[in-house]
Amino acid sequence: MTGRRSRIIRSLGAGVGFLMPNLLGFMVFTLIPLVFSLVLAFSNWDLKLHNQYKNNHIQFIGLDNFVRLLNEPNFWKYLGNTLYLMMLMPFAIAASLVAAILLSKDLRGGSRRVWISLLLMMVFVGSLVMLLATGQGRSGMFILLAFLVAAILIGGAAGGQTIYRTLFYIPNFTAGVATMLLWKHLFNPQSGPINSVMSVPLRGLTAAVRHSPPSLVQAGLWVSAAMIAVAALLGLRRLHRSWSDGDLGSAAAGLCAVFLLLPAILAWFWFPTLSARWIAPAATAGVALWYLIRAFRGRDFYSRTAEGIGSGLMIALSMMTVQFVILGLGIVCFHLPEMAAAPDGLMPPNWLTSYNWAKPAMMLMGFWGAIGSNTMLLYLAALTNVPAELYEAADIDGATRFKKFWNITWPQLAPTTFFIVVMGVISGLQGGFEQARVMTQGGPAGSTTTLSYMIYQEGFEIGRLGYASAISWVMFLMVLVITLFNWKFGNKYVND
Amino acid sequence: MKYIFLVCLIVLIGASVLTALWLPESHSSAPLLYWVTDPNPARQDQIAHFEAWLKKHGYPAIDLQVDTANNDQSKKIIQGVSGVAGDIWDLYSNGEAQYYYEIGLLRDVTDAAKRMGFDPSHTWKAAEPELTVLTVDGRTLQVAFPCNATAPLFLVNRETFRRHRQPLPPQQWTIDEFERRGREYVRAANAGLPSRRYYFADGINDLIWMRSCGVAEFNETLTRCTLDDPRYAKMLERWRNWMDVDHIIPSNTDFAAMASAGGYGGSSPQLFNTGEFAMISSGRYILIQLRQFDSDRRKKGLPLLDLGASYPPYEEFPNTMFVSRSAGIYIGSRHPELATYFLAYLASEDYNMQIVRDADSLPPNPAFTRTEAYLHPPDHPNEWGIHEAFARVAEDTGVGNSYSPFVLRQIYTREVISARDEFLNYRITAAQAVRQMTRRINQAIDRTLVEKPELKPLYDRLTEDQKTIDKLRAEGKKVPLSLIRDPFHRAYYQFKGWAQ
Repeated sequence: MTGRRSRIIRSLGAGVGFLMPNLLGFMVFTLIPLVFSLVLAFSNWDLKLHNQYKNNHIQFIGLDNFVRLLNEPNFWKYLGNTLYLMMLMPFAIAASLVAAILLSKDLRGGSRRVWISLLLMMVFVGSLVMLLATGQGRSGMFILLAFLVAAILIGGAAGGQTIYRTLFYIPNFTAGVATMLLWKHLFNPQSGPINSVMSVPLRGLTAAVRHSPPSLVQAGLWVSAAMIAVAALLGLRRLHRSWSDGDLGSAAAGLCAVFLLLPAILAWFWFPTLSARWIAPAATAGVALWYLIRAFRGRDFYSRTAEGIGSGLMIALSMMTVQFVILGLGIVCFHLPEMAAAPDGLMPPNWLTSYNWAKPAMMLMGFWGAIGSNTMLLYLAALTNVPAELYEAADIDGATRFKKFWNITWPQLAPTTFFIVVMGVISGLQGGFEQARVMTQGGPAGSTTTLSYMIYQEGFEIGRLGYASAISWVMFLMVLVITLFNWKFGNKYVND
Repeated sequence: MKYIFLVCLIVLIGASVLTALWLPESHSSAPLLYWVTDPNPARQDQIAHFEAWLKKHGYPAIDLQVDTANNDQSKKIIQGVSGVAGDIWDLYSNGEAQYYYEIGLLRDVTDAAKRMGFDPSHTWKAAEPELTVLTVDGRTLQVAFPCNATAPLFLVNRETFRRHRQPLPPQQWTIDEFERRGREYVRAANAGLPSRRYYFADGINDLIWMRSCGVAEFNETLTRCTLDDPRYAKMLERWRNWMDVDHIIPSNTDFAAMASAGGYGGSSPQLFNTGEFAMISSGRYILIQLRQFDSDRRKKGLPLLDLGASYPPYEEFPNTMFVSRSAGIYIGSRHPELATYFLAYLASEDYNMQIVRDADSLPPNPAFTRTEAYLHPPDHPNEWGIHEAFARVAEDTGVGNSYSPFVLRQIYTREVISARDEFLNYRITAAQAVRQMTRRINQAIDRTLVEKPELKPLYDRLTEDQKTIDKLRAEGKKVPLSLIRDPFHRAYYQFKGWAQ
């Protein structure tokens, strides 16, 4: 009996011994700091006042840090920046999915594909030579980039999937700071390849706008107002169908409809002319009324009131993003004649030094990174798990490629998408620090300062460790609430 | 598996022992001190001279090592409060010194400075605010001594002016004249070019300009921010016009577009050398880089840079900014008494003459700017006259920076830049920008007083002084200088004849 007990103790000791390095590491570097930071969030710990060379005592100040934070205008501004940058997420997911689908195909070329790639490369190099001949793209980086693309085309045609998969994954194993420095050069207003490429069509557009009647160009504003209403119509139709089929509850449908109407309401405030201001809200209100009347006629299947809110929000937020893009384009159209009339004409943006363009610049960089990210790898793995019989059955039924994607691939990828969305929301709320630190120092005028950069500023530049911890825990609460929401109301296909 | 663990353990222990043996402490015969500074190659020479100086005066030997990896402010703070920072720290402004002192990381060297001859009387008068901090009980303590000093002026590439057939700028000029000449210069220089290439100057120091209008960052007692001034708003508007309309100076975007070249001092000296900038606003240290260009020119048989100097333009009060790179002693240093020898060395002739020769800005002691070696360096005849201008502008018009003990410099800078960037991006008007920055800085002052109640008595006392000053000014009477804490106001009051 004693021998058995000692054997158990010995094996338990060995087990704990093996676990100990990991447990110790977890406790020292994760658990204890986590608990410590929670305690800190309720304290007034300030490096200026409390350190080993000062005799002041740290005091617990209850919720003061949180109250102060919620009253600080910069917090809301930086939260807005963080959420703005997170608008990249649907585009990034879509791009990585497209990349994964492309890379799941066998791209190894027969001789025809190799020839097509060679032809494309020649066209590309020819365009490059023309650009150089006309004094464009003088920078060495531009030339390097161009030939890199050409090499990829050839390599891909010859090597197929393996080459492309490796190349697509490069952004993920390249050091973040190095990538950001590279993008800083790419965004250079004069010698950067992005603006070099953009300046050619912009010059053409300037000429076209200057030779067109201003009212014709500005009509884009009215067109965009109408398109916002059309986008709302499409969104509401989709919501109505889901509601009618019993996939979406009434409260969920109502909430999603409110999101769909938001751009039309904002158009009232943002559109520069009164007549255009009327179109989007009035047309959207008409559409909304139409679906409201249809809703009173009843539905085919019933569901609980909040059922399917995750799917509904996905539809609403996607359409809302589209509406906002249209809204922005409409406003640009209105100001286009005035911008083109400037002595320099239409110029490519000053990416990192302009208040309005710094965030889109970062999103562009994030988009590039997302294409070849872990998200793409997850989708690649998930695509291999889609049963081939489903596609065969669809082929027999004569389904088109899009229908196969929409009715087989997308639902089958739902669990992966759900995981990606959850992780994306978490990393999105925590993100933006590296970019801000390396590329813009949070500027201009705080336009690229995110919550994580605010934590750094308050904690390590100002020394308010208690306050910085409070920001971290507010951020954690936001992540927690959104994640719980995702789990509760996530994609119905996942839950089913 | 257990053998793998054992091997890993032995390897780790071995690596730790090797690392310990590798550390300079293990094979240094003299006490080891670390100097946290920038990666300037001149530092090794300065250390060699320091060791020779110790020997010459019979002081104890010190093994001084340069630590360039930890010169970042965040690293200094984290290492400092953890008790593991380097012994001597480079400080780039009094804001930094004040901050470290407040945290309790800098040693008070007031007594040692008097005893060993490196108190403020051994350096520039304008440098005093850079070396001292104001304590909560209102005392002024010395915490540093300058490694060098900087007072910027405009260096002129005279060859560029001749090339574009433009008159050379005068030594002293007003803002109006600067603007007029700038407009003419860029018009002539860029005529016929498909896009802008030439600028009158690489920029203009907004603090100098603002002060020349009589605008102060803080009031006389440093208790409130006073940037909400219509003269400052007007100045910001004019500044933006210079960048966006007249293109006399490059905007941030123009700068970002041109900043492809590296080197000491950034891209400005390169563009000055090639003629894109006709003038650059800089301290004497920029000559280090310009001498390298001259060396290249010599090799190619080209003439040396034809240099001139112009003082910063002004509205009513001619001035220039005076800053210094100083050295302070970390409170946790294991050899604080030895570290003070380094500060004494900074005041010595050996060190000053080294700064004179290297052109690493102005020497800590102004007396050495009157030496022949300073005024007429034999290897650089094209610089004759320039060195004198640097010394004279510092001596005659140099004004130290304003640092309020009631707001961190980082917060001040952040709020000013944020509001200014919003204005430069056409999001708010100049009047709104100055109002916003002032409101936020004053809110930060109020917050400091809540967080640090021990500052309240000092604040209240200074506020009373401020009331006295305001009353005297309202009555048209002269104000005793002893009441005025802000270096700019001290200089401005004397200039206007308002000081008693």
